[in-house]
Amino acid sequence: MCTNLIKVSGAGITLGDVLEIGAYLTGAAGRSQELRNAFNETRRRDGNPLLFERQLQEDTESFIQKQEKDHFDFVIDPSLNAYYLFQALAENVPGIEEGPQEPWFHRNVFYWRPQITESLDLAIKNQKVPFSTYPQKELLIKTGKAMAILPSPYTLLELSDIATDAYSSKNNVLIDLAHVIKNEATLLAEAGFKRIQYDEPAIVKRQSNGSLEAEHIDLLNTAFRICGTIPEATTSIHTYFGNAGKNEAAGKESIIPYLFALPVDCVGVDVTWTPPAEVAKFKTNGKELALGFFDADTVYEENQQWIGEQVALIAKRSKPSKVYITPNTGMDYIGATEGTKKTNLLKNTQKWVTNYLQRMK
Amino acid sequence: MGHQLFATYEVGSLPKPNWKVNALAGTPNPEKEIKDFKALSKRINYDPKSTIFLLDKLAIEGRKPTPEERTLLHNSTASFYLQLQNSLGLDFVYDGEARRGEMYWNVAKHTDGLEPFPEMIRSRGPDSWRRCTCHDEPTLYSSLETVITQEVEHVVKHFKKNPEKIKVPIDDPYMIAMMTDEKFYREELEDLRDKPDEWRYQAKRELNLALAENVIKPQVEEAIKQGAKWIQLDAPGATNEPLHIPIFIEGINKVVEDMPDDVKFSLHICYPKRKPLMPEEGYALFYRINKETGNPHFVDLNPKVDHLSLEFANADEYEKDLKPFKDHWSDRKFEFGFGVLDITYEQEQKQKIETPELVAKRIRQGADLFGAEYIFPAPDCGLRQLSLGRCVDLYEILVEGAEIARKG
Repeated sequence: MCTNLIKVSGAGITLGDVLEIGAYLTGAAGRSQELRNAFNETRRRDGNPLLFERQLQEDTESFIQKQEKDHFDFVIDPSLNAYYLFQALAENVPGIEEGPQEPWFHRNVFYWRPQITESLDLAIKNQKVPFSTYPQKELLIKTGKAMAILPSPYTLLELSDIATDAYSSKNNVLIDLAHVIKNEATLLAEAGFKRIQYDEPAIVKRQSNGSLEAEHIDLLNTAFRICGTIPEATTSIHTYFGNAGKNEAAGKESIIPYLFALPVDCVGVDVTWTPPAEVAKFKTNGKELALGFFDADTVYEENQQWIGEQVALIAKRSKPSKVYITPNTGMDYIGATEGTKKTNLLKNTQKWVTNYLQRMK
Repeated sequence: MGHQLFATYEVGSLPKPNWKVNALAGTPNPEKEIKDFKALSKRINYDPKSTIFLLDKLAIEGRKPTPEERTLLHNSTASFYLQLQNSLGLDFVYDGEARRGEMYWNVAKHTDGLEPFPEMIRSRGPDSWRRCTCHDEPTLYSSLETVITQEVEHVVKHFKKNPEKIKVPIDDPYMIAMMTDEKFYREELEDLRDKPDEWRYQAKRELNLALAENVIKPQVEEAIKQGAKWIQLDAPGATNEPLHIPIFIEGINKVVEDMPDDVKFSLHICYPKRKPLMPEEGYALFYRINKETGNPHFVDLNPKVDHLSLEFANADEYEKDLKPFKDHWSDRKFEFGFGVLDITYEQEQKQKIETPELVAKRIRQGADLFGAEYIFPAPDCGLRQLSLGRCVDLYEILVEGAEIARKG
């Protein structure tokens, strides 16, 4: 699977026996102007309803092909036809509905708070096909490295309202949500997806805010004991929009060791929020690390030298089985053109860091 | 400022009327549009003759309006909306932001140092907005006339006998800062890169202060110069990053400092984070303690700002939303622009709307908690995403609900 293997070992900086530097994208892309025009045309009363669909297929295909061309380790769908992380769940899972609108973390983007309106028992039992849809599913799977992005059950719980008496505790809701997500991940893996990325912003946002307690870590553990292992696919917990490291002001110890102890293959850390030195304090337990060096909020150009130094430090101390350099999350917030520029920067940085580490041998 | 009990007001924008959109695009108006325009004009006692003359002329000549004709179209829409609100019985009014496009871009396009992204950015479902990157210290470069002078001058002229009826909405600096990519300040403060929280915070703070001083304050000063007596600073994103609330407060204080005492200042805040992953949620976020001052954030707000226009109806959690204000009432009292109407597009799609009785009940709930003199019934937010017919219905329900509440 690895297309970007380098071996770094021996004298000088000790980077472990084998260090692989990979790269991939981690979330939704911005819509092109052509897709936006097609969307507006479709919305018009006398517009052609097929225009948007045609452009959507075309843009999705280009996006997948670019990732292939860049030899990224995983290939994702750009979510050009979805508006928020929970949309497919709220639209397709009985017992989960859309509620009031709410800002998506610090961004000027909204989601609709999922409402858990009834027991999810039936939804779990009856789930036979994935609720996630992909405009170019076949093409995506044909790459042999398709990655599906699903909400982590813990974040889903935290950003939902429980609007039913069917559950006696938050823990019980979480367990059912985790089963819904696990079923989905399993169905996607059976369909050919090789990696499942669970988006988990809530746990690190709590840590950043100073409101994280043991009960939250327990909930996270419970969720990942259910959905962390999926037959036929590897899994990743992808944290973003928060500092996972020590929060001195709030007197909270780092949660990075807890993340490294979860039953997943890869841990994603948003190092645009978490100081890389905080990551380097802990061993990964042999897991892969996805380091979100590229800030998807801004066109600010990240510094390759600095990234190289941080990767070297983390590789040396945390001893991951592999390091991926990634954006912290989807780059839809900077639009298609700037997102493509940043993707190119990511690719160049991957090469640059690879060379940098080889030079350090 | 004399007014009746439970005085009502609009919060900001109204939709762009179809007859104007068509005319600006050089598209002849279908007969139905003109008919609807005439019917509504009659209902609100507005004389549409000069506007219809211009619309007919443009249609016959098959062209887009000249710059002078565009100004005429803006003026007539502004007058139409002022008359609409006034005739339906609203106590405080503005022009529906008839000259403005989308609220962020309306400011950003007049600001040097901000450059738009090549594409629109998705925001709320299929809606999108023109986001900008900050490449240099932002300053207002356009002639002030373009931004605010014409607008306020026109409205004040319309209400020359009673300028106190006017409430002028202007974006607050943090809304612009929150929505802008602060690239320039990230680069300026690159030494903080190893402390990402501080880097992000300081970059946003610097951008916010520059916007307050160079972009927002001059607009407020100009509005006051033109005769405005009530300025509403629009801050819809104030809680998007709860840890940045001190930046937001600092920006507002910067804008209102040294402003004349006879000018009233209010803040409009909507859709606060109700799931911020903090012990405090929603409006309670404004009562977190600022570690630097030791005060709840709202206590640090300049006393000149004595009125808050807030969204309550969309969430419909009045008790929970009002609690923090009640808990801190002895620290700080505010008048409330009391959101009693859910203005989201989804409600229109579902054909759901409040009744006057429900509006009256919500008003009384506020009055019972804080005192009737503190309650100004209002929609949750501006109405630009709705149909004009829906806006008229909402205004009527608002005014009738307030009347029922007055009768007790």
